[in-house]
Amino acid sequence: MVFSSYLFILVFLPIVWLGYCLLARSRVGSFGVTLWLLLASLFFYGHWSWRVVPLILLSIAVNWLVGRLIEGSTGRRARLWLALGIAFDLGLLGYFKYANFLVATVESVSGASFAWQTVVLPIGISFFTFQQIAYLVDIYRQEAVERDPWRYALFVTFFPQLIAGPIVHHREMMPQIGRQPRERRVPDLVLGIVIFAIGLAKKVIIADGIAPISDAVFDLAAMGAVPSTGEAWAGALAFGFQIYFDFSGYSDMAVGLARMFGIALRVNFASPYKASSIIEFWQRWHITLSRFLRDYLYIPMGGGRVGEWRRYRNIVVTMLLGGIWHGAGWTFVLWGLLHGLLITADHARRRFWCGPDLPLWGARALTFALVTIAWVPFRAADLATTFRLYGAMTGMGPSVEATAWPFYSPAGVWLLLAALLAFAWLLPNTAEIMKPAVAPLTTPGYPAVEPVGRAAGWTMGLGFHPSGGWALAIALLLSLSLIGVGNGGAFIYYQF
Amino acid sequence: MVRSSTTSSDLASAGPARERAPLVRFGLRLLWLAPLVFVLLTGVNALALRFDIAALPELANFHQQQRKLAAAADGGFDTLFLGDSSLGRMMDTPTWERITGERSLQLALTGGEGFAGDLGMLQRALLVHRPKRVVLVHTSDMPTRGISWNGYLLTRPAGAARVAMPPDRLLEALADLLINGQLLRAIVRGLPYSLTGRDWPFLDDSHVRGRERLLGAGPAIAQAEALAPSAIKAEGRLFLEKIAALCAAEGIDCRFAFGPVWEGICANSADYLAAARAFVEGAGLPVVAGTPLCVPAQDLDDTIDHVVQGRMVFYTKALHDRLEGQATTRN
Repeated sequence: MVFSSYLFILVFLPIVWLGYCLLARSRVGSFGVTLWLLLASLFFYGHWSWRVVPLILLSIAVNWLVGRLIEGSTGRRARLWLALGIAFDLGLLGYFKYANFLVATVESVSGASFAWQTVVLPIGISFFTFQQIAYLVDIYRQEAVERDPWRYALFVTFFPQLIAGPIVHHREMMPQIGRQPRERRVPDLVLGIVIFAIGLAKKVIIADGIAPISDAVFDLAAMGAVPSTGEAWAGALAFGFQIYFDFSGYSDMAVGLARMFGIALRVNFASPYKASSIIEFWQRWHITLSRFLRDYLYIPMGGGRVGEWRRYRNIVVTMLLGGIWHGAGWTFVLWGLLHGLLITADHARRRFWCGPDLPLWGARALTFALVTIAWVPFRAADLATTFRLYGAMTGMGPSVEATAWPFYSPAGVWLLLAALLAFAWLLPNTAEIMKPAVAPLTTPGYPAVEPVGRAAGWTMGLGFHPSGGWALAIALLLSLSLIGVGNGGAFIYYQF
Repeated sequence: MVRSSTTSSDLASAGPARERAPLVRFGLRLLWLAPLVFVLLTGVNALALRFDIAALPELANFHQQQRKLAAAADGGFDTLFLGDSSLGRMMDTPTWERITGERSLQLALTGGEGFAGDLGMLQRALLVHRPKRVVLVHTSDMPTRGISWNGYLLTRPAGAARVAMPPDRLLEALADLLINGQLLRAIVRGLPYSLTGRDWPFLDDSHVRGRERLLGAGPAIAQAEALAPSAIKAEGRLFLEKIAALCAAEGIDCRFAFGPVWEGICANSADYLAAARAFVEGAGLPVVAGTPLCVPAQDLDDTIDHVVQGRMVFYTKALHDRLEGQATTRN
């Protein structure tokens, strides 16, 4: 089930919220709420395919059991249980996500052909696997414990964050379950609806609206056609904005949904195109994934405490694995490698560069251009398509623009792209908009709002207030989004 | 010892800073304002559709085919063609009638209505006339598209037997058909793309440019567009089975043909095409031998299953020859 669907918005969500309210007021209290949200989350997950529900239940059961074993052990034994638990998680993820890719690679290298039944990727497996790995490590570090299997199952399956994050720690979410004061229910619902509506509009109106433009270029390039330079750049930019508003919208909707049930999720997306360096970009894009990669991969490898060159190696390896986490394919390897090299170059610049820094807007434009270039393999069907588009972007394409833009003329496409760039650069993000009503739950080291002095003063006037004007604006956004629902696809991050 | 705290300071700071009463008032205001705005917007949309300021492509096409059916009711028709745009962009009915000496009627919808649309159109046709022969013509990848409930809801005539729909699909299909805001979507997306009869500066001419690019892509398309047997969705057979049952009950000779498709697909998707044929025949409809009609790139229009207008006569003859079990020579 997708957040931006009629079934979710008009049927599933109202029923789940009403059931939640009734149970929270009843004598069954916290346990009833936990069980209700767990059942709703499993239904939400199973609606995609009931055949994958046993898989997530198996994963939950094993991880909860291993967690209990780690908790009851010390020293080497605890370390052994931790290693076994992580091996189980990675084995599950490896089989379902990478087996097809490995078989295809071996086949293409060896020329052999195996009688291999394609494995179907269960939706959200990358997210719930990482979340549970973090949980096991946290238990080992004595930073978390959950003895109640029902609560643990809810921690993993809670539907606002199950499919595409944020990747939350047990200690961040579970203390909030069933603790919402009665007088906060309606205000939290209202605030959740406002945040959800903003996210829904970003997804349905902007991301789904611009998708046909990037699809036109990438699909034609996948067929072997070489676009003109202008078309190739327009396609890459359009995809950059599509994934930006798609993931931004999803993240807002997740935060808004959780808020309706009295749970504050961490800000996961903070205007990444306003970043003035690649390092800062990763402090703003998919913040909880960046934190996971930092805490559970980069730092255990030695992080930045092992000398400059090994630090650079650690960065590249971390980003390479981050790329592979996104998808099983050489295009994701290339994307991760590109970002690893760009972050390394950024660190090296900070360490060795003695000249003047670029002015803020210049640095912002350069970062945006580099990120856009790196999006090409992320979206392209294969490496051949990637290099075809890179060739076109560097002026090796035909001079005549001939892409069949859906709906728009070339002038319309560029006008739209310029408008979206202005949107991403100039407007405040949802956490900033909602700040007067909800203090954003930020991650230490990851800014969720513009630093003082960098935000344009006039944007502060866009802060949320429970006024008539805001009610009309939200009603408009909801209505326009509902009219557009059903014409777009699932969120891009659902495939990871 | 567990070091984590259940009341960490950052969680506490994430709580709402506002008082309760203004938010409750805001929520109540939203409760009546949102439906009101929604109704107003859909009303504007409905008026735009009513007065031809905007048009739903599938509705416009469906209405046009209804008008054709009404016009053909008096004279009747011997052969009824049903299918998607690959049929509409290939079939030249005057040519067909000249070859066969019989009357024909072509009621092609779009790929969006699928086999479900065929059933609805056949039921509608049978209300006015019973043809001798029905030929369903669809693009090669139609068996991969599953069931089009929109097509079912759009075309089902009043009084026809109902097909059980999953509630969620019913909800989505109804919403899609009833509040499909073409005008509003155009406004929201900033640039009009569905407005009809006006020379907007941002409207595209993709029809021409798409063909040029398709021709330029060359043999590489064959690699990218290959279809796999595993892509066939078994659920989609439901409406083919219903069509076959209806034909049997009415005693009509019903056949299925895969329409034109770029020859690269014929070359690289042989396994899929065999599986697609078995899929249709398994539903009880015989598939015309020699289909799909494999089309070289220079005969294609804006997509790989649309024939350029100047070659419609040739492919109409080709389909006729296949139906008669003859080979067609190129000219």
